[in-house]
Amino acid sequence: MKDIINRVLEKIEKENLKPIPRWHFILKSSFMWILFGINLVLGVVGISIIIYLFANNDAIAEVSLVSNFWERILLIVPIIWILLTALFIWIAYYNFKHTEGGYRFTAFKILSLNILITLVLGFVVYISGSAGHINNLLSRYIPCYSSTFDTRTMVWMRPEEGYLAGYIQKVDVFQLELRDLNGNVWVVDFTGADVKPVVVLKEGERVKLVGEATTDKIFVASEIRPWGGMGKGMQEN
Amino acid sequence: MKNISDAELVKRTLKDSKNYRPLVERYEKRLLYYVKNMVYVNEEDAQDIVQEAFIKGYRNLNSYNPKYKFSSWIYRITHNEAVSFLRKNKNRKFEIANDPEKSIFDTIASGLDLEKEYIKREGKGDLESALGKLDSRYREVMVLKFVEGMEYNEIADILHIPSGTIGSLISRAKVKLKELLK
Repeated sequence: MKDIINRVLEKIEKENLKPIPRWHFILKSSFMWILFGINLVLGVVGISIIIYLFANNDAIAEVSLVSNFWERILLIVPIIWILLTALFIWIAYYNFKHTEGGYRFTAFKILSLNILITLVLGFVVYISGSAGHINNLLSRYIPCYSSTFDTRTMVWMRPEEGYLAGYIQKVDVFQLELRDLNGNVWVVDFTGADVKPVVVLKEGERVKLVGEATTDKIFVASEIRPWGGMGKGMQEN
Repeated sequence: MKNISDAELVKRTLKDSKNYRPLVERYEKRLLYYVKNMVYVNEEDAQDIVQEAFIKGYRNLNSYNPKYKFSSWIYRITHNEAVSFLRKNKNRKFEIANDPEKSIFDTIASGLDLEKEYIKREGKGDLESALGKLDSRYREVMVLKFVEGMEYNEIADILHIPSGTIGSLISRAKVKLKELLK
């Protein structure tokens, strides 16, 4: 038995072993908490954007004519955001589990508390109006964000079915030039269009159009709606 | 030295490595016994595992939180060391270690409420082989509970699982052992 004691002490002395400094462990533990915090925040943002996309999506009304059930689901439900949020929640759970003492809690306890906090804070962020701003920022700075994450883009970027969305580039008396969300430029004839009162026809304005694409460059609009807000509610105005 | 707490000895060791000796002395026997019963290795391998655990313990001494028991902390390191030893030597065949002075099987038999008569009649061989066939996570909790006599929260701190899970692991381990003994 003496052997182990002597071997341990000899090795410490011979190899001049020193305890790893405390700051190393503090850093490691802080890193796990920071990762947990980041993923919690990302989960909150995810939930707030999911609520925002549901609340501001006229998809339900607009896609009712789409006969394929799964296509309809893809147009209505922000699936990528839901999957991403689930991933953030799972990573936050993993990070928490690996904090000091995290193992003391069951997976069920950590996950349910995490989901509850994420939902409550996500709703608070949505109510505060920040979700829309975050979504706009993401679509402005991340290429392909709108076409892949924002269900409204999927609904409103179907010109062959009479739905078009984009930014106004130039406005004439009965015509405007529109750069759609995929970057293509359209000439929009809005002679007989119902322009919703909240829509301001000016350069840089983001709008949604209902109408008909007569060619791949010309769109005859029957209705112009603002980008934000429910179409159904807008129609009542 | 006997009356000095583990936490105090840790503090002193951080100042001077020579103070590590009483801590090693305090736990080496227990850890050696634990390793032998947990992973079924021979004396030499068990000593290597425990030695490496003490070295790792010394290197990581600053991560020890006095809020928790030092014993749970050093057992956890030893547990990890034993697991990694098994991983490295997964192709080797290990045999159940026999300690004539203190037998794990007696302790577990009493934990299982097996009558002494059964042990006398059937011998320890059956229990030994049943324990050997038991899944390692069940064997670990059985060893820590019935051999080391630890509380659920201590076992939880060593195995890094919620203490509520320990109870169910022990119950399932008992059922499995009894099934194996039938």
